Parts: sequence; structure tokens; C-alpha cells
Amino acid sequence: MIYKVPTRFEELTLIIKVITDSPQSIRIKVMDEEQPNTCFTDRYKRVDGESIFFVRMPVSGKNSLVYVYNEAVGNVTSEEDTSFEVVSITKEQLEKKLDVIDFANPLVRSFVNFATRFCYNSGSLNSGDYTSDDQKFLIRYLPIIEDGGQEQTTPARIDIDSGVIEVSKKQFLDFSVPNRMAILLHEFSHVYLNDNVDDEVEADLNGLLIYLGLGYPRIEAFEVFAKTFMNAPTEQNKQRFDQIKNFIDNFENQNTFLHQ
Amino acid sequence: MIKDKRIIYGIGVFVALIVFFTMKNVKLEEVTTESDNSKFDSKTLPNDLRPPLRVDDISQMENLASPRKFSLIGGKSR
Repeated sequence: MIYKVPTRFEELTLIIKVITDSPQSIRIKVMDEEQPNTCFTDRYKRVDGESIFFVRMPVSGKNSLVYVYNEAVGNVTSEEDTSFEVVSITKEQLEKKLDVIDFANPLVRSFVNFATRFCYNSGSLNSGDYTSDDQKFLIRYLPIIEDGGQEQTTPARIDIDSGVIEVSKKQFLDFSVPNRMAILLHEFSHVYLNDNVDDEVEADLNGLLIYLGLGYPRIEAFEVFAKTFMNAPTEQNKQRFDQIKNFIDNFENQNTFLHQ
Repeated sequence: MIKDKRIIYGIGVFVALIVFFTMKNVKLEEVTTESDNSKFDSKTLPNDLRPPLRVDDISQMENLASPRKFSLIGGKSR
């Protein structure tokens, strides 16, 4: 079933309350009604009884479509599927922690604005080169990322010398807006925030700090790193994932270590 | 008199709170068809969500802007 929710381009948290009579795997998908290929979350949970989904949306379109369906049945109308019920959909204020982000740094301000607009519009943008308003950042939106004619598994990469970011359109079309944001903030951190430009873990954590501070959903960050690491399942990436998990847990508990 | 005003203000605040909390609850409107987003126009987006600048478009704008020829209304420049 699909519900239309007026989100009016606001930043908000959607609270979706679902009830089932028996254990069911319920999927929630929030899509932009107008902007093509624009998803804000796509997740599922095993629900037995009453359960609440929190969908943090630091960006939203004019109207959002909330898809709620039982994975065993598929997306049908509420009349056709009585295995669960959507009790309510509520809009709440988005919880952010902007104090953890160094907005005094003009590069951070500029990149957050640029990346937000790029990620929200990636679903309808043509391939090409895009720049921030101050022209300090450049994203090369490519059909795929390749090296020597070979398609690369990475969704994005940054040139350490020039700061130019290459993004794979093929992969970004499948990503949610938060997924895209987590990836771009990681690339930005390599060159503009890291002490050591080559340090992947440092870039992960610096990027995540901004991502979480802006109020983006934790689950989407886990998801995109998991997807990326699955394409390159090395021991180093396994350790990175553990560090990311610890960092997110600590952020929730306000034990975040701030990188200066 | 003051007591009456307090009661009226109290009722006003109460009504405002009810309106506020009902506004947060979205009226569940189920739609049966997926949206047709083929006619999406990014010009309808607010400024902070507009697509970023495309480099080709900037070069075109710069090409349009130059060469610049000024006509001197005030006559010859010295």
C-alpha cells in the first residue's frame, strides 16, 4: 500500500506505526512523488504486534510516497492485504546535532550545500560535470567509473591532487539520498578534513560525523558501507565496518570523539 | 474580569495545542497508482534543493556574456 504524505520540502522525521497479528516482515520505502529515482529510505523489519519505524529526512520533496507492505505478499492495497495495518503516520521534528559539525569552515558549509543538492537531484541529473556555487568543488557524474576500460566497483572516488570527485551514476541511481550523502561526505573528508589523505578509516569517521550531525538515518549509513564493502570483502574493510558501527553507537550515546 | 480573561486565554491555548497535535498526524491517504514523474521540473524546487550548476551551462553563460561591447552614452571617454 502507498500513502501520500505532504512533506513540503521540510526536514522532518516520519513516524510510521504498524501493527500485525503474527510475525511478518514489513518493508517501508519512502520515495519522492515527483523527483525520479529518489528514495529516502528502503528497509524492512520483522514485526510481531506493534512496531514503529522512524524515518529521518533532512531533505524531502513536496510530497512523499510511503510504501508499506508485507514482503511475503508484495505491494498491494490495504483491502487486498489484511496481514498488517498502518495505524498512523506522524511528522515530528528532525533531531540534529549541528554543534558537532565545523560550519565555521567555509569548505564544509559549501560542500554540505553542494552535496545535498547533488544527492537530492542525482536521480534526474544527466551525466556531466557539476560544480558548487563557489566553484570550489567539482563532481564528475559518470555513467560508470572505469580504469583502463575496466568498470570499478566503487560508487565514488576523489582525486587526491585535484579534489575532483568521480561518481558512478549507475550506482547512485540505486542508492537512497542518505546513501549518496554518506559516500560523498567520505570522499570530501579524504582531501579536506583528514590529517592523512590516504586514511580510509579517518575519512569514514570524519564523513560520518557530518552525516549524523545533519540528522541522516543511521541505518542508511550502515547499509551503504555494507554494500560497498561487500564488493571488496577484505579484512581491512571488515575492520572498517566494525569501527563505523562503534562510531555510530557512540554517537547515539553522545560519546563521540571529535576529530580536530 | 481578569479571571474571565485567564479562562479565555486558557481555552485558547488548549485549542491551539489540540490543533498543533492533530496537524502532526498525517491523514492516511492511500493512493493506488505510482506517481508519473516523467514531467518533473527542477525549476519548481526551492533554491536550497535546486540541482547544482553544470559546468557546460556555466561555460555557455560565460560565452553569452562575452564579448562585451559597451556603448558610451556620455560620448567619448578620455
